[in-house]
Amino acid sequence: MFGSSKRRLGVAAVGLSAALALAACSSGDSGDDAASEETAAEETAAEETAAEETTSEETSADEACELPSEVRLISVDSITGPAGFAGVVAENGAQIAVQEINDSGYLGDGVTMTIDVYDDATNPDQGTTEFAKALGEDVPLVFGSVTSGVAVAQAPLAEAEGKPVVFTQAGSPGVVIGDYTFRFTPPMSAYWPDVASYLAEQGVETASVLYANDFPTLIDVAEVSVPQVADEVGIEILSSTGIPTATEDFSAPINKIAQEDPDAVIMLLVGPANPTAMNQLRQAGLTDVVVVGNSGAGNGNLAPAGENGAGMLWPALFHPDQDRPALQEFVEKYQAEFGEIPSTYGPERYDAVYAVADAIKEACSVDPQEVRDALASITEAGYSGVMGDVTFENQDIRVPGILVQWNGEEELLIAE
Amino acid sequence: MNLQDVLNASTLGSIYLLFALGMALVWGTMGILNFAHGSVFMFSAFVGYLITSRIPLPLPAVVLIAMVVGAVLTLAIQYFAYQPILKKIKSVNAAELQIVVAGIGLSVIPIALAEKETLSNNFGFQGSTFQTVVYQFGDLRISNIMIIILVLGLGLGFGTAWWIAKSRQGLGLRAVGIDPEVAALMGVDRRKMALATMAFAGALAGLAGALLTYYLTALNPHSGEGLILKAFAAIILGGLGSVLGVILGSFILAFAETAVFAYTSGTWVSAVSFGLILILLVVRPQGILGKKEVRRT
Repeated sequence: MFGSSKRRLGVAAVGLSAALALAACSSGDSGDDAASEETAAEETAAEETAAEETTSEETSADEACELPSEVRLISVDSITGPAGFAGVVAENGAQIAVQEINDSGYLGDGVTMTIDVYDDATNPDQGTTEFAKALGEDVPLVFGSVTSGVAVAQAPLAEAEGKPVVFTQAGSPGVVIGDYTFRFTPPMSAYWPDVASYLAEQGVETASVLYANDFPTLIDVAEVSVPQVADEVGIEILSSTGIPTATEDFSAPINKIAQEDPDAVIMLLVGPANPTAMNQLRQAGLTDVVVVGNSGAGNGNLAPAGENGAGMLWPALFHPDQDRPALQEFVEKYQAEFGEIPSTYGPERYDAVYAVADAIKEACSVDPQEVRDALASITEAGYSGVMGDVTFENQDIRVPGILVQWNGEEELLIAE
Repeated sequence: MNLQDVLNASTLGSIYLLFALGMALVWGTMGILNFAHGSVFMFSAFVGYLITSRIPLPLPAVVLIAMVVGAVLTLAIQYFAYQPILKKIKSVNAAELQIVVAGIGLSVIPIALAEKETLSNNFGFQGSTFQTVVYQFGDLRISNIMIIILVLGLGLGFGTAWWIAKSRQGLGLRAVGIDPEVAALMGVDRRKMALATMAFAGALAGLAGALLTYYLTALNPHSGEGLILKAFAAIILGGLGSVLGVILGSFILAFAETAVFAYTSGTWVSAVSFGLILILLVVRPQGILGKKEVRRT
């Protein structure tokens, strides 16, 4: 974990490596005992001197490390528009992290962190305009949009500018594209091998896919990941139907699926479309099929479907019932602050803000290049946060997934 | 296409019709292309949601509330925005662009209010006492809300067409559409007529909003935006100024979309439906039932 009561695995790992290296350097292999003792005594003295020097260097480094009294960051996120429900929760998570960082003096005495939020309105045009503005300001790093369609347009701008950007949620290809782009949510495709195995265990032999064909993350899952993992576990894909996100009535594609009579329906739709699609699926007579969605079905989005939504399950990163003290502590704080249980967007942004704070602290600088380098070394080593023990592959996070199911009244954790 | 597809397409056509009818009426007779129509549609349902989440109400009461909200909102838009624009720019044709821009600007306000309240999540009438029931006849499945939408969509569509063609008020409205100056000289109160037409269009938007929320389970603050494009397409396809044209346009669009889903992977649904309009505009620019000479009747 990142906070004052938290220890980063990455920093510990770096420390451990250094200690092992020192130990390796100091271990000699001599046949002369006296010489050996003498050498050992000299080495001990040298080590003590070195240790004293190191401590003194560290102390002077600590003293020398003076960050500006205000470390300002910018987040260009989807606060309004179709993905506003995700952006708002992400920024709430960031707010809790910033408050903790400032209250505990995490960045040093008198140093406060602020994050200004610019709204991209879930719109790539507005998202790139606001992002370009943010890149031009005197900030060491920018947080990018939770919306893939916006994030894929922002990422090249950050690379061109040479300023680090941290994304959460935007799970499509084209988001982590170089040295300056980091993502603290795994790509959605990373979960599908486990989902396919789960479906195979449930005896699913055939499946039909319905997906939003103008949403990069969902297109990638529907057209690449699902066919691949289905093939691996022997599930036959009967059809794959793409629909525009603006579709309000799903009765036509669902009627087509009903005629195929699949064992499972894989519905990869944006959040608000899920209750309508589930309702129409049940009304079309598909009452016994296994229905798999995506994390967009969470965050209470299925509530309007009530009983008709019951049974839909989806892979996720986070559920408030997960038994981890750090997660429980975060959930309590979030609930106290915002009066509701957070969805996955909150804790992952909370972790991301702490990682950025660690990078600034480690770089002891607000220079974008130095912060990027420090963040790269933190992500390379991995850490333990609210989301659990995480690792990264090329600055792209990897977190074990879970399965969540709507039972008609609430979202239940069904598999970890 | 099987019988279920035909039924689904008919329901979708009725939805497009309920939404497009008010918009077509205002545009075809008064020359006002009201781009805030989608927001009125959404906000009427949103108010229904706010009330039903506190007081359990039956379907007729929710529909009535949504219609009143729709009518009041549209009247307010006409009174505070469009009318002042028309007062300053006497010609409706010259004011058209300003009205479109004002409509787009105004449409943002209800969306922002709904987004703030729902945090961009969807909303429905879970508090309503109405329950959807599905009836099965062989392979055909139809719900009670589908029947209501079909009956009201077709009833209001043909009823409005008849009213415009046969009633005295309809004649007055057509007269305003053809020549507002002459209509005024003939004793038609343009201002009153405009307010009544806007109120009727707003009530239709509210009706469509409430029924669609019941049918789809939920709407979201942006639900009206997609439908505006569909309504625009249906009106152009059928022919501006013809209520029967709007009916035809709505159903052609719905059947084309359903057929694309039935026979393809769905990728081409927007391309096919809007391609149809493009072809028609090239072959018959006035739309299927539109008159060659542009007359707003």
